[in-house]
Amino acid sequence: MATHDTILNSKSLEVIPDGLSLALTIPWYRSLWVSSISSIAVTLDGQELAQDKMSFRINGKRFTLDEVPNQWEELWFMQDRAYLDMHLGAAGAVGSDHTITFHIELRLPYMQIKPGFYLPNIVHQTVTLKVQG
Amino acid sequence: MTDVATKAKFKLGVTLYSFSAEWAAGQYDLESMLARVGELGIGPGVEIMASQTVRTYPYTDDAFIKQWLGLCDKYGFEPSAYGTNLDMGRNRAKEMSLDEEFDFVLTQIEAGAKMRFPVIKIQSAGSELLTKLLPHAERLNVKLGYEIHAPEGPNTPKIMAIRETYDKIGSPLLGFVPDFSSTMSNMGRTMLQAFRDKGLDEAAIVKVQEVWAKDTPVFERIGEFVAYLEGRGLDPNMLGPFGRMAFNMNGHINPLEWNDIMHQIVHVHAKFFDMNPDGQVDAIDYPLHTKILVEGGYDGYISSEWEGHAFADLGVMDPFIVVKQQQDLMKKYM
Repeated sequence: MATHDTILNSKSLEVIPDGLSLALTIPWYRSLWVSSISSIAVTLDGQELAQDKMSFRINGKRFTLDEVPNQWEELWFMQDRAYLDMHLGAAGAVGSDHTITFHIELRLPYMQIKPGFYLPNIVHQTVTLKVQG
Repeated sequence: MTDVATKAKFKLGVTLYSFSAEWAAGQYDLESMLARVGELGIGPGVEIMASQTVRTYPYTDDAFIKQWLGLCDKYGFEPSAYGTNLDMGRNRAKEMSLDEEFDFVLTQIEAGAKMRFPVIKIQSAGSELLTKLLPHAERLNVKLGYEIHAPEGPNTPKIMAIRETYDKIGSPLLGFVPDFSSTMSNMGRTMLQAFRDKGLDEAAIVKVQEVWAKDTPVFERIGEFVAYLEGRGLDPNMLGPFGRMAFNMNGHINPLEWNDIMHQIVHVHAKFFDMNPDGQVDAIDYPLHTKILVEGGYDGYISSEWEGHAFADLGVMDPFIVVKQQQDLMKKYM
């Protein structure tokens, strides 16, 4: 995966008290405002997760996926991980394997094509990850 | 042969953008990255991008400025250019007004000047914005450079419009930053390998290079290649963003056109993707590019900019080593 399409790595899947979390690397070559994320969709072991079963965590704050495109003052610094928390009702099991399809669409806020329209970057990845201890 | 009259007046350097993938992966912090650059003897110029390196972007605090200047002193680096961005669309509900754009860029210019960068790379060269920024560039004694990157070149309509704006304003502080991506001889091997990795067969590899070499506008060439793939029953989405990038990031304008703006060049990006086994840069004529800048009397910094990370996975190449090789090559022609 290169700078334009890296989002997950082999250590990305972690346990949270009510499910699993994905540690995300920004799929671009610079830091971006959280509002640069247009949408996120995740399929976990063949099941597409409802949007309200996920939240986005960064800089010690948590946002619903609805709120993400409005966070224009929150910076996703290039060296920081953001977390996509998947609320599954129970903590995930360390060491178990899960197949994840991650789809994210970005709107690059400095690459204006014409007023109101910006260059997108779309990353779509399917990976099998082991839950880290 | 040493000809004093044509000795290079410019200095070499590197943009830390070359190490984007290692930076994103957290393999280095600013000090350890600069230490590695210093150990290899790369430099003396160092360029950074505010939106990549500065955690408090677009603002820069005194602690960061102090750290930056201290590291430059410690390793003997010279600040060369500070890359700024204009995130006019950060608020989806309302695009920036001219005053907001001005504030967003000026805070980066002020920081760049405090960090002793002689050149600030600007992303927008609109006439109104430039007119507002210019008195501050004069006050801070910095030059403002607009990057000319593929698919643009010195004489494409978009750049001609900026040249006209510059002529109207008439300030020696306004200039350009040529990027060698505009003036490549052929498509880079790294990009073609990325296409193969995505599943393109050799017939499609031949076709993409044939379409790339045409003189038609970029959007037409992208359309032509997409039509070719669809005609063969292939989904253009299989290439992800690489299909578009092939045409946007590799230009084939004649390098001699850089002479048309030589007097306005304030900084240079010596773009490259890979080195060849013979020691030359793949797909870009470095003897020619270096000669043009030597003979043109260019006297700023040339930043090595390795952009293979856009196509190659982290760890496939060591960008610090290839930057060192590329600088050693340029030195032969200086």
